[in-house]
Order: sequence, then C-alpha cells, then structure tokens
Amino acid sequence: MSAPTFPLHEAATARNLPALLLALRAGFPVDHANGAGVTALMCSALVGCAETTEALLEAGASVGYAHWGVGSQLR
Amino acid sequence: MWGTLIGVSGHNCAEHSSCRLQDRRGWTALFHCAKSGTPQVAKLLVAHGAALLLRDQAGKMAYDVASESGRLAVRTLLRPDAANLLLSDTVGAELARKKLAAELGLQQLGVVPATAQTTAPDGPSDGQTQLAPPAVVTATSLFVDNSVLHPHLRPQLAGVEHVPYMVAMSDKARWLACAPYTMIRNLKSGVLFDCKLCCWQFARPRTYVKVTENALEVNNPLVCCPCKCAIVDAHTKIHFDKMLSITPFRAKRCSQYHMCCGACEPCGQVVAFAPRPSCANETCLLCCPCCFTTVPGLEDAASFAAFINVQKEEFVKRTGAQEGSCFECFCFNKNA
Repeated sequence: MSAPTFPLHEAATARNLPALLLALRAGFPVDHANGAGVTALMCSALVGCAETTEALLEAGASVGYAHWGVGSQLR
Repeated sequence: MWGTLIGVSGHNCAEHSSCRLQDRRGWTALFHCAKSGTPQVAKLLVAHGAALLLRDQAGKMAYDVASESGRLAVRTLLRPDAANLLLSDTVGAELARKKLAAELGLQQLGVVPATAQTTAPDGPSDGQTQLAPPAVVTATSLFVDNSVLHPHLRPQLAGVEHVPYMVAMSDKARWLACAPYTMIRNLKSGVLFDCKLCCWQFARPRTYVKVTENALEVNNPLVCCPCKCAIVDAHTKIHFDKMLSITPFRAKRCSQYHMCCGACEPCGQVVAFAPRPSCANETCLLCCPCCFTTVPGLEDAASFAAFINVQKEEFVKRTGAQEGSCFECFCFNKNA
C-alpha cells in the first residue's frame, strides 16, 4: 500500500479521529482513492482503528459493495 | 475487475471514481482489515454490508487473507457464513434499522402508529382487534397489515428475538419478515418476492420471531423461519435437536442434512452447515429448506413455485453456480 497523501488517508492511518472528522467536515470525499486505489476506509481498516472506521462509515464510506437489492446485481 | 461491479443504479463502476471500492489488488477495506485489522473493525465492515465472498485478483477472499496473516479472531468473523453470526450483533441491527429508516424517510424505525392497538401478550386475535389505518406508512405498519403485533415484537425493543409469543401476521408481513430490509425495500419499489434465494445474500438482523400457523402450515409442519435463514454451527445443531424434542409437532428434520426452523422457536435459527451428497463441492452452505420447499403462509403455492423457478435461473446467472450445485445453497470450494 502506497503512503497516504490525502488528509483523510493520513488521519485514518494515524488513527487521528479529530483530524479525520475535520477533514470530513471540510468536505473531503470520503471514498476518494489514492493512486493505488486505496481509500481512507481501507487505511483505517488496515490499522485496525474502530473509531475512525466507524466515523468513515457513518460519513458514508463504502465498504466495497452495494447491498443486494433492487437493481443491484453481481455479474 | 472494475467492470464486474455493477452498482445499484446500474452504471458501470469502472467509470465512476466514487465506486472504485477496491484497490489495485482488488482488495476492499475488508481485505485490509483481514491483513492487519481488528475484530472490531471487521464487525463494523461486515455490519455495513462488506462482501465476505468477494475475491481479489488473486482469487482470495478476505477470509483467506486473514488466514495467511494469522489473524484468527478476524478470520472467524470473515467466514463466509459469518454474516449470520453477526445478525444478532447490536451494531448490525441498529445500522440496518437506520438504513431502512432512511430509505423510508422515517425518523425512527419501528414505531407503531399511535392509532394502532394491540392485544394481550398471549392472545393474538383473529381480526377481533383491528388496527386503525396508520397516518403514515411506516415499516412497522407493513408488518401489522391485517394482523396484530404484540408490543414485545416491535423491532425497536431489545430482546425481541426471544419473545415466546406468537403473533398473527399477514402473508405479506411474513414475506417481509423473512428479509426485512430487502423485502421492504422491494415493496417500496413495487417489486415483491425479489429475494428468498439464499441466506447469505440477504442476511439481516431479524426483527420478528414467530407467526401463527395457518392452514398450510397445519398441513405441513415445516414452518419457515419468519425472520431469516441462518447457517448453524454445531452448537446450534445441538440447540435444534433440543428444541426438536420439545416441540416435535412443529419440527421436522427434512433430511440428513437439512433441518427446519420450526423447532427453533426461541432462537429462529435455521438450517445446516454440512456437506451435501449431491454437491460436488467440498463445502456447502445449506439454507433453510423450507424457504424453498414450503412457503410460510403463502396461499398460492403454485405461483410461488413458478416464481422461484424464475429466480433460480437468475440466481444461477448471478452467482455463476455450476450445473449440479444446489440452488438452495451457495456452494464454494475452500480450495478454489
């Protein structure tokens, strides 16, 4: 995984919840991926921080798949 | 890889950066968690719908990554049937309610309309107590259509899963209760009976437990789990057998490997996790057989049979199930 270069990524990697919330409030896209396709949620999951992970999820971060339901299909 | 992800709206996720949910290795957040995360994070991700069965570009599932990384606690949560273990998780339940409430535009899910009336705890009546038309359509009102919902079974209350009372529910409500989130969602869009295919796909926190018997169920002791299907482990099997001895009139072991949920009155747990002779794969997750062979409360069994056949074809297309694999289960090869 490449080094994080975005505020959300940095905050998630550093387990810095205040910074993460600040970045979210500032409008950084929660699902933004860096050059390696890594999102802040992935960073947070990698370091195992439940607080930042929950904050990202609450902010709407995607876990990687849409829920199955109307119109969604796995092909 | 991206082309394999088709979002809810049907667009190609490869063309939408917001949908790039996997990194270059095809890893989602769940894979990263499996690599070096914690069980708490794994629970959160799964509760938010992270796909346990998704494979990366190397063909591995998050479960495999956790195994290779020696993260046994996380690996346990990422077992392909782990979603069922999380069903009772309060985080997952709350999230599901919030999501459903958001979809339905509700501030709070599970609030019975103020005009609704209920009966005594063990006295579900048959039309004697009528519900006044709710002022607004709520998720709960879907469940109490032409029926009486016991207060203890309201989804917002804790411990509803073990309430021993039976509650009268309409056929529609039964369907909804089988897969609350998906079915209500589908109902909202006018698409009924869209799921019912396999347990792991639509595993959601259950909200209701028991339904009254109707004529069909009297004739057929297989009573489908009103809440969900689940994969049982050895412990649950023991529990099943225990319940079987207590309530034999409601229970029936369908086959050597299949178990019906009728006996699992208190827990609602269903089915089996076992090899299936007809299945060539090494491991086979079996879903509740009664969900497919017996329709709880469905008056028109023929229409269901026709429906389920269509769904079966779609299921095969969608999952790539091999010829000969069982429809009512999702088969996977651990060594694949």
